[in-house]
Amino acid sequence: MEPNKVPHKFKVMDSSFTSDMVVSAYTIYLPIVIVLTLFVARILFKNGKVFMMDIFRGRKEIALATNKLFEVGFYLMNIGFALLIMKIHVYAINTQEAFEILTAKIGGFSIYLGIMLFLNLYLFFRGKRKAKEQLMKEKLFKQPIPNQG
Amino acid sequence: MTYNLLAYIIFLTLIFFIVFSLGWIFYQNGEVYLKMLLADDHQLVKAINKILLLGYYLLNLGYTAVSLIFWDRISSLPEMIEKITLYSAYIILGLALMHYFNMTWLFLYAKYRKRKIQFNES
Repeated sequence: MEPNKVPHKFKVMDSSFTSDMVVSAYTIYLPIVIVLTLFVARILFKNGKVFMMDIFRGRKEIALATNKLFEVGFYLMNIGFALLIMKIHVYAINTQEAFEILTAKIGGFSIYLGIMLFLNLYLFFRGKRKAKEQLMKEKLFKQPIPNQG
Repeated sequence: MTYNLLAYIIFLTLIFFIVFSLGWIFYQNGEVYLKMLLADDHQLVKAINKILLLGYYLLNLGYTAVSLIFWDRISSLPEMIEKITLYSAYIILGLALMHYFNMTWLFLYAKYRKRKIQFNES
């Protein structure tokens, strides 16, 4: 095994050390983050349909299409980020260290996912507010005004 | 079989699967937007949608294939997993970036077009 290129401040890479622990950490990490992302996105966008119907004023076709596209964007961005931060930089670890690294990574990722969730929710509420303002304006002037946003 | 070859096979299968399934979703959901922008000319919408899908496949599969030349030699299993996930992450984040760029462009264009219609009417 080649010594790892990335220096670590605590450990010197021992080339004779087995790296089984890292492989099992990866096999635990990957399903967890992917299933977590799918689960969060499923729930967020199942409930996002209501907002989209409001934003596009009941034009069902375009509301559902937009919802689907945002859902796909959410998957791509978050699974991409999860894969990006997966690498464990030191191979010589025991079970305890593997556990600690794994919890730190998964915990960090779920905090990131929570922030993304609330960002999306904010965007939904903003869209809904804009649609409502538009509706109020039209009521005021008694004629349809083309939607601005 | 070397680790590199195995990694290439897994990587290409994974990315091709992702690109094809995404392309299909975009193809199906994008038609509404094209109808909105092109004033219900159905044949033109279908033609443009198909050409866009083809362009999307060519671009993404092309740069996936080209990205293989940047891989180093892989000498162990964990390294292989890392490399596959890292390069998949780059490709997936690239797709996400392009997707959001396209959505932004679409919304801005729709906004601009509505303003123009409003201006012409008044």
